[in-house]
Amino acid sequence: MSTTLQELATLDRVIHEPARLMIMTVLYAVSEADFIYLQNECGLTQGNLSSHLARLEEERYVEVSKTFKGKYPLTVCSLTSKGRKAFEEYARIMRAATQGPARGKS
Amino acid sequence: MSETSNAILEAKRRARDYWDIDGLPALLAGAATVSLGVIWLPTDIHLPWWDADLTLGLFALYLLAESKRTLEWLKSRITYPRTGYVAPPKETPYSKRDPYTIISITKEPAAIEPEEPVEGRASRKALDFPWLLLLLLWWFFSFDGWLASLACLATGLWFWWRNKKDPPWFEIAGATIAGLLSVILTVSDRSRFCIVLIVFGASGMAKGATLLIRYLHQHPAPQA
Repeated sequence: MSTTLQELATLDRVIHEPARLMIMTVLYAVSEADFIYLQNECGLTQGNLSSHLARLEEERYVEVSKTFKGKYPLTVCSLTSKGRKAFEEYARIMRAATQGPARGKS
Repeated sequence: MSETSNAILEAKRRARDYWDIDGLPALLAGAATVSLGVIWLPTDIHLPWWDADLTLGLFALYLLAESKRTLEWLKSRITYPRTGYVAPPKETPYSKRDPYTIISITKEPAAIEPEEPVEGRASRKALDFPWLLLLLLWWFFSFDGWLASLACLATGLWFWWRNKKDPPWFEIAGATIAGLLSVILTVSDRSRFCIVLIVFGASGMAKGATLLIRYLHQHPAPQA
C-alpha cells in the first residue's frame, strides 16, 4: 500500500464531514462572514449550521464573535490560524490522493 | 483536487459579487459623480460666498473620508439583515469593474481554472493585459473630438457585448449618451467635462437603482 493511500486515513474527520467542509471552504475563501451569509451559501438550516459551527469552534478551527455593523448586530465567523492550517493540510492530502490522469481511455 | 480549488475560487467570486448585489456601491458612486459634475458645472448665477473649486475639493475630501462609512451604514440597514454580511473584497472597485475583468468573471464556473503554479499565473497575467483601456487611451489621444469617438467606441462595444451573459449596458449607454451630447451641445470644455460626469453618474445611479429594486424584490425584509 502506498504512503499516499495510507495518508487518506489521517484525514481530519472534523473537516471531512460535508457540511463542515462547506463552511470551512467558504471561510477559507473570505476573511469573515456572518451567520446568515453562511446559511445562504451552504444551504443549511439554522440549527444545523449552529451545531456544525459549535463543533468547529470546539476544535478551535473557527472563531465566532458578536459585533455591530452600524446598529445591526452580527455573529461574525472567521477561520483561526489553526483552522486555516488544518484546511490546507486536508486539501493537500486530498490533492495528493486524487490528482493524476482524470480521463482514462475506455 | 481541482474540484476543491474550484469551490474555493467560486466562493471567492461569489463573495466578491455579493458586494455589488444590492446596487448600493453603484448608486453611491453614481450619486457622487453626479454631485461632482453639478458642483463644478459653470452657471450664470454668481454668489459671493460660492467657490466651485473650493467646494469641489472639500466634497472630494468628504467622499474620500466618508464614502466607506456611508456605504457600510446603508448596507447595515438594507443588506445585512436580509442576506448577511461578508467581508468586502480586497481589490479596488476599478480593478474589478474594468471591462476585460468583466469578461473573465462571467465565465461559467466549470471554466474557472484551479490554482496554478506561479509561472502559469505570470503568463496568464500577460494575456490579461487591459487591451480595452489601451484602446480607449488611443482614441482619447488620437482625435480632437474624443468624446464623439467615445460614442462610437461605446456603440462598437455594444455590438461586441450584446451576446455576452452580463453586458455592462448602463456603462455603454452612459458613454454613448455622453459622447452624443458632447457633439450636439456647443459649450465650453469645462461644461462639456461636467456634462460627461453627470451623464456617467446618472447611468451609474440608474444601474444601482435597478439592482437595488431587484434585490429588494427578491429579498423581502425579514420578520422581526
